[in-house]
Amino acid sequence: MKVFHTPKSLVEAGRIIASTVDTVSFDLFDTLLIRRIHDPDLVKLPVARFIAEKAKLSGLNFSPEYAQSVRDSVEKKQRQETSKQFKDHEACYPIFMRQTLEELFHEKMSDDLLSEVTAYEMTMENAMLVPRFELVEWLKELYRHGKTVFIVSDVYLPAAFLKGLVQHAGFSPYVHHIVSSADTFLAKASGEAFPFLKENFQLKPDSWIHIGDNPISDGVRPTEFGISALVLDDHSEKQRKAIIKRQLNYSKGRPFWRGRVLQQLMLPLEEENKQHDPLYIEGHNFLAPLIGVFIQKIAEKCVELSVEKIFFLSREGYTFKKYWEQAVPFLYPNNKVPETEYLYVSRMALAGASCAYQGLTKTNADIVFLPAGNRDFRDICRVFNLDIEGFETFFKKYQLNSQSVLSPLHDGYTPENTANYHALLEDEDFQDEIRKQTRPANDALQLYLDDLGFFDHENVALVDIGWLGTIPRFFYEAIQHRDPHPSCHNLLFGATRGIEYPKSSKNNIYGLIYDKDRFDFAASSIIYSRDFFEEACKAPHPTLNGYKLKEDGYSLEFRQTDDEIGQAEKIQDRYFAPLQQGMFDGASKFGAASVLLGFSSKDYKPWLNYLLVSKMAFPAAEEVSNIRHQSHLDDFHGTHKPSQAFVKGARKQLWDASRFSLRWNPILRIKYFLRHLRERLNE
Amino acid sequence: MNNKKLTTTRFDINGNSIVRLTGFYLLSRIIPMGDNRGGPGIKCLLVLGLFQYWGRQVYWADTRFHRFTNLLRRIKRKLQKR
Repeated sequence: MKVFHTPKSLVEAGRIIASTVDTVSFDLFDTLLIRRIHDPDLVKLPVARFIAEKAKLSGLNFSPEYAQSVRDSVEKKQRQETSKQFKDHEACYPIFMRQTLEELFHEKMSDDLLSEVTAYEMTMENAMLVPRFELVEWLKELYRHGKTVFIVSDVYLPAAFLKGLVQHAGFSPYVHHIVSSADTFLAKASGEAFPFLKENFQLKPDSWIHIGDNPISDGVRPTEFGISALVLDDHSEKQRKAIIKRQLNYSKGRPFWRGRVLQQLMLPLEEENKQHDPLYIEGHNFLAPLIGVFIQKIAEKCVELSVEKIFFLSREGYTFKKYWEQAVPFLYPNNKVPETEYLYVSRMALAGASCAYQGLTKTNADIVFLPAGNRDFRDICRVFNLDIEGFETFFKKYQLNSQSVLSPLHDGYTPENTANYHALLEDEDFQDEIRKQTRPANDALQLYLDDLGFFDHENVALVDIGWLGTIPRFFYEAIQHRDPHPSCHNLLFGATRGIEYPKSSKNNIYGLIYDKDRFDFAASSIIYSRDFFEEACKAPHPTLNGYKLKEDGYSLEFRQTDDEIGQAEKIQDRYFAPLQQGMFDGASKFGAASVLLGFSSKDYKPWLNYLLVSKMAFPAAEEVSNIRHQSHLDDFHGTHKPSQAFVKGARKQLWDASRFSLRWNPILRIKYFLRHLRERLNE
Repeated sequence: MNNKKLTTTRFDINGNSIVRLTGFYLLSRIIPMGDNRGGPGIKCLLVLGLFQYWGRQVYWADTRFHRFTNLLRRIKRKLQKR
């Protein structure tokens, strides 16, 4: 028996020995496949939760801990029974899992249930297993050189199940036979597996090498039988397992570590860990856990609110929906979560439609003047898609014109203009003209929503990135005249609530990662660069300009992309493509890791707070230059230049600082952080 | 932009290493950084830092001189029992 401390040294020595033999057998777990988690028994816990959830659906009530204890005792009993007939104390998964389920479900037990539980356990195993690159490559090489390749494992999973794992890991075509102690109850631990293999496959021990990680089962036992044994005792693997073990242990007492251990489980290992663009790394290591927690919160909130369908609002909803589709099957394997749909909306498209019945409200008109680029009534017409010619008579009546300055941020503004403009908004004829002009857009929106079956539900969730909640506001105002209409629960990534949201029993808004109504100083760090989150989550399609009513129905009108702004947006999309890819690649890993740990989104909050403060308020100079967006399209903002006094008074942001000052100014971040702290406290 | 790996050779998160976390923790002792529910804790940071920076060497020695390290473990267990 020879012991090696790295896969590389084992393969080098193995190549020399293998040239003289016909048969090579490998151990599977911790040799060809390694687990992301240090303790394989931890994979059983989500299965116990799955069983308990299944029981709840069948009207039974027991805890996951009880399901796990029954499984353990049934497995133990089977091992004791086996040891009466065989030297080894082996168990067989399909047998003991059937008995476990029979004991838990009684007459409600079925073959379908066993298949579902088995499939879930295999999914979890696959999610946690990673092929060991160097050894798998050597295995493939041995197969190509005509050696007979075996996988021999002492485990409760039968060979058919192991084949599934090997297939998922991608090297099943290179293996001739897979043998498991669960089928024969003859294990490597006692050495009984080797004579069994010899007889069944007519193997010669002197022309056979075995490779594994256990010094007894894979070292001493085959050597006793005359087989050359190579044992891998890898210090690097021990270090990795020691780190994750400690992180998991700390997470039990200190909630801060829960998010950290989640990220440790999401990290790629072995050949998965390839060289990537820095943007991909930011997407995977920063945005993936952040969006993952947001998605988990959405799922939890929807279950709590009994939401029937989730509508992800364009364009950021594209990313959220895509992430949801990869992470939620892990988080909710029993399909308890609502269906999802992508809804094409935009502030510009909904603004007009929102006026079709209620007219132009003072609050909605005021929203137009929040961005400094909007100045006069032409901006109102642009945002609400109105024809300015229809209002000329009203302008005269109220001593206004289309260019009267209505925003105090611009030169030429007088309070009289605002007074006159407010009087204009009170005019019923003016409001009738607004309603007349915006009605077709609203009618087209209703047709679109009817097509999606929006009004067939009582409770829906609308998911958007944030910030003021103008899209949910305009959307609800555009549909509230329909009777009945669903209750709309608006779930935002961040709710900055610059303007009070019109909450009602059928229209509510929640900021899930940040909400100004709930003092959360760390989460408020997203305010440092909101545009970054928008750009990072933006769909790769142009924004919606409006809903157009046609003779035969409606059409969705998208913004042209052939102008300068459209081209700049395309360049930005291409620049952030690796960032989004990193985020999506982390989605299924997030789902699997989170369900394995069994933590709720609340458990990850301290780590999330750290991530946000560390990345947004204390970023490295290189990080800012990498992930700062290059362009940001916002049709809502006009092109007027505000007054010099406003421009001078406008405060510079940390993320706008030069690379030089970010790198060399030691108090820059602290200065901005203290300013941010003061602003939040004064809010 | 230089390409990098997601997991560092110390099994740490690229771009969010234990050193950065320790810096954040120390700063959070001076300036309020939000609710971290107790934070990482200095002992946990030190132990993990030790495993990430010196774990490779420790386990290298452990796998090569396991008789000696097993003896140390036995002594440690005996001392703990007392």
